[in-house]
Amino acid sequence: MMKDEESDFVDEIVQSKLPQHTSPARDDFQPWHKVRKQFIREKQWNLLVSEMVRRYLKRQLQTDTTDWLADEEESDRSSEIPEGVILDRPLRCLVIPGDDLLDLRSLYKDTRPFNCYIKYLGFNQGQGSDQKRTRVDVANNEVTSLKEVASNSTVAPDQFQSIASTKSQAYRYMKDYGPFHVVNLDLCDSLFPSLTVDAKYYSAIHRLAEYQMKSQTVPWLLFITTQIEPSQVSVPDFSKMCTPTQHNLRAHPDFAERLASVLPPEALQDDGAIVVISQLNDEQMIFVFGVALGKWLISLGATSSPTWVVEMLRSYRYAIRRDPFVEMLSLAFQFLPKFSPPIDKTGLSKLFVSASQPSSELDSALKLLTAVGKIGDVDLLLKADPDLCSAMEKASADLLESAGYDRERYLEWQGRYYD
Amino acid sequence: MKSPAQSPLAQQIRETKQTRVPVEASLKTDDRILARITDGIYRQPSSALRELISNAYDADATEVVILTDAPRFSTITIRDNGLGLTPESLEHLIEHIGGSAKRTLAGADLEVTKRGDPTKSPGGRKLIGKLGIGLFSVAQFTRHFLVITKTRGDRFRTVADITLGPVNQDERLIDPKANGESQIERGHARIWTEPAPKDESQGTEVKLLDLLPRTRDELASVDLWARIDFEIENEGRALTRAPYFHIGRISRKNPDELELPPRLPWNETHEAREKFEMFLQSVRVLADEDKALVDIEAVCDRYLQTLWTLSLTAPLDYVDNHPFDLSPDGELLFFQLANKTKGQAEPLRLKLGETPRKRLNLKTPYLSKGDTFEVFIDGVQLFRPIVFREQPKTQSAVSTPLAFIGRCREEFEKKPVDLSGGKLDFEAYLFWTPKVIPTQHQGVMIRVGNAAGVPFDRTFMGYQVSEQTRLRQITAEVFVSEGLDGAINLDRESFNYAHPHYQFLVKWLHSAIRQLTNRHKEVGKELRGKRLLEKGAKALRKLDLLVEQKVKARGIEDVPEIVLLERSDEKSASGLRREGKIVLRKRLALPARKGEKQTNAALQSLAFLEGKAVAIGQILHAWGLLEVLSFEDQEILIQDILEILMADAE
Ligand SMILES: Nc1ncnc2c1ncn2[C@@H]1O[C@H](COP(=O)(O)OP(=O)(O)O)[C@@H](O)[C@H]1O
Ligand SMILES: [Mg+2]
Repeated sequence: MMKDEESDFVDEIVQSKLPQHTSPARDDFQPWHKVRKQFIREKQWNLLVSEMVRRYLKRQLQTDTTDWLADEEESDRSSEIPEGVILDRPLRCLVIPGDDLLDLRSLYKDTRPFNCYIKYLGFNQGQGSDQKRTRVDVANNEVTSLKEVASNSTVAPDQFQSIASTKSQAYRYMKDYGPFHVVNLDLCDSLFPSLTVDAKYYSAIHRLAEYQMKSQTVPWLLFITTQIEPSQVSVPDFSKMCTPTQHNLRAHPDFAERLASVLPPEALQDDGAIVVISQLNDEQMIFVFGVALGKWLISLGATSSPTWVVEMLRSYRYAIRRDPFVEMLSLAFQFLPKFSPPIDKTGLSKLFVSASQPSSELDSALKLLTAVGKIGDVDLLLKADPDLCSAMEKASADLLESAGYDRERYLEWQGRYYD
Repeated sequence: MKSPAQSPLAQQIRETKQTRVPVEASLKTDDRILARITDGIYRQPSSALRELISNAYDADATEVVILTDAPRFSTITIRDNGLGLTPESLEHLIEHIGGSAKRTLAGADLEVTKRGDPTKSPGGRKLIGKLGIGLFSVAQFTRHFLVITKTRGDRFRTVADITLGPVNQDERLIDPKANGESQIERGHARIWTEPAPKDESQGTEVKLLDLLPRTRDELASVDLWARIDFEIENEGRALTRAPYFHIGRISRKNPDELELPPRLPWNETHEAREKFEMFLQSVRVLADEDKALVDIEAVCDRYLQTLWTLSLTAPLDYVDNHPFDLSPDGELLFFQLANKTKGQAEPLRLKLGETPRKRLNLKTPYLSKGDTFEVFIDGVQLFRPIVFREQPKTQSAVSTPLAFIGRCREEFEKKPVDLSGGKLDFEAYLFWTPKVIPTQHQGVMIRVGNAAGVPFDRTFMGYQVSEQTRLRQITAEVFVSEGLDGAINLDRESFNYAHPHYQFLVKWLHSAIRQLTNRHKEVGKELRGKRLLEKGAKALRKLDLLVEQKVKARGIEDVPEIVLLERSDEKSASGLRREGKIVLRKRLALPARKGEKQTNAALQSLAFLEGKAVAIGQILHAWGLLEVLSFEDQEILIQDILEILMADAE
């Protein structure tokens, strides 16, 4: 055919591919079907969310507004929420939910006692491929049809990272569904500064924090799950990440002393301040990474206005591989709004309003060191407690069954893994 | 087991629960004409959404959620919490396109109709569907979609992945049935079940995949933006006005980014209902401020127009009140329409708190108590955007809106059913207001049951009389509760004009418009008169004050009273004079007037003339000039002065 006779209208009219049928999902089991992931779901995510919901409920029942930052009394912690009290707004969740929405199903189940109504926004770009798409669609249909889940909850066909750009459709989704109470970034790849993966996650988390700190008014939780592969560390990037930590090292002897107690002397330079990354062993690298990431989030909170205090909560780790050493780190952070009450310095007013404690960056940093030091090893915990282990196995099997997997085949697979 | 006659496909679908191997099935129709329908017979994207919403309504859903991923439109999801489809009804749907079980006796077995009343849904709603082609309106959007559905109490959900047949081939014939009939294949479905917990959840989700580029462009107003781009490129500026509100524009370089952020009447922090109210409010305010923005097409891009159209046609609640639930408050005049060719609308004098519904025993919208139906699209809850309160004011004589309400039941008693199509029963209103906003609300909408195919018909079913201005001031809706069904064309967007029910409605509506016109003219006349009187009274009051001032300036405190007498009252003149009053006989004091019509204006000018006669008399009296004249000369002098003044005025 002659070239000039060809038109270029066609692409705008007819698609190039015939629509392809998809098929039901097969039972192919994945690492996140393992028992220890169930432990993370129940003992970290769901538990911490439940605790926060309980705080929301208490706040809802109270007439006087206590400071979100004030430590809860021990007696308070255990006090019951009267029956029938429900959260007066949906619990908004931003998640990277995978194809089966397992984490959401599990969260739903474990937060039933609080009757909270869940509204979620998921990001899953993999939806583009037909097979996975149908799977997500079916899962999404199942979960949204649960009684206490908002039926306009959705899984957007975008990458979470895309929210970094305010022009992105992903960013619009975030604004439409937020502000969030729970953000669970269960990343398939890594936040760890690495030679092999170039993650854009930091910009996205920065954008998320910016949005949340501007729009949210109550405490919220951020879970970050990331893989760590010390052998692949990118030293320049890691050093950059450690800058705020180094600042603490220099400025605060307390901090330096605490850090020095867990790091080998070689890791600290002569002036006792700078971390030498190449001197860290795998364990220490995880420790320093946890501190550095925590410090980064703390500084985001401290520099916004109003300020947010960031605390690391119960966090866990488990092994992916021993050689080369690869670990999964599942970190939990709580963001607490810090509002300062007006203070009358003249004494004209007879009200007693206690000034809020200026929270020091050092306090947060020291707390962070403690929290990082307490990161639990899921593998050890499960090994040490066979009852816990079998309870998690059962819960995991229930969860997978509810998502359409074959229970027997799952148990068989799981058994093989633990032999 | 639920179904008495379990048939092969349904049986196979159920078996996938064990086998976990999907069933392959052909989409079939018994009819060549219907086969065409799967190629699409609708003109607008909103049509398909309307059909899917109607299906949810028919399935007794209380909530429909539509997610469009606007302005990217990668996929569109329509999710309801209705009864869902059993494998049996799915089988029926797939194997009998165009053979709806609704309104048939088979409907009850398939659990799509109420037992004992095939015109109703199991929950008692009047069914919208009946042809069995609505679902295939999705051909407007795509040739590939997913249906995920679950019925209450079932331990599985059914997933059907459906592709519509080839565009270019003639319909493929497939295995002749035993009775020799053959069916036509129009597509293919892969169906399987997924286990589900035994719970109360139910519902259907239709997910439109691989959207056609054309439809996507249409929803995203690509044509409009392209035109603006073109103008900027060639003329240096846009000649076409960009829509005031729009959903934004996807980047041409990166389909996951927007090159133009949305501009919406609401923001993310508003609740679903508030968003719609703000939309409506903005449309009304803009129309009031800017003549060019009375038209919704100038205010909104295609996406928002689609929302608006859906909100008009879907079976929804009014954003405020149903017109039948309005109560009188001086802001609105009610009339009752007569059903006679030469009839006249009569004022409906409602007591405080009384509604037309109560007075006339109106039944629309025929919902069972507590029944709700809510539709959300991308987080905006839709309502019927027709409001009757706070109408815009204009310069026209009548500024009070007029509501004409009618009901009619025609049994066609003396005619054979085969010719008349049976009973026709409807209720209606015609709402006159100085300015209908947006212009898209001018005209009449016909709702059968609770559903309408198209928004307002601006021709009022072909009303011929030239009443252009007045017609543009009317919004009308007819709610048909019985009949007319047979006159609806396949696409549900037009009627068969020859149908007796349609013909009847035309006649009724045109009579109603005539009644409205007459009443409107009358009200206008009355109001004009009243307004003139008010104006006159004001002028007279001014005259009084003037006289008072002048008289005071002469040092006289009391303004003397002057009485004007009609010819019939002249006898009382001397008595009044004895009381110290000045009396003028109109016959002598006022200039003669030649056979004027008793119009409001004439009466008005007469009243003013009389006022002037009194004023002149009072001034002359204050100057002491009246006493020196005989009574008759007093009258002649005043007449002379008045005549001179009038000559001047003319
Ligand atoms: N949302 C839905 N919920 C339940 N059933 C549905 C739904 N949509 C479609 N169906 C089923 O599919 C059939 C075909 O739908 P449609 O093509 O719109 O035709 P009709 O509504 O005229 O019957 C319906 O009769 C009904 O049984
Ligand atoms: Mg239908």
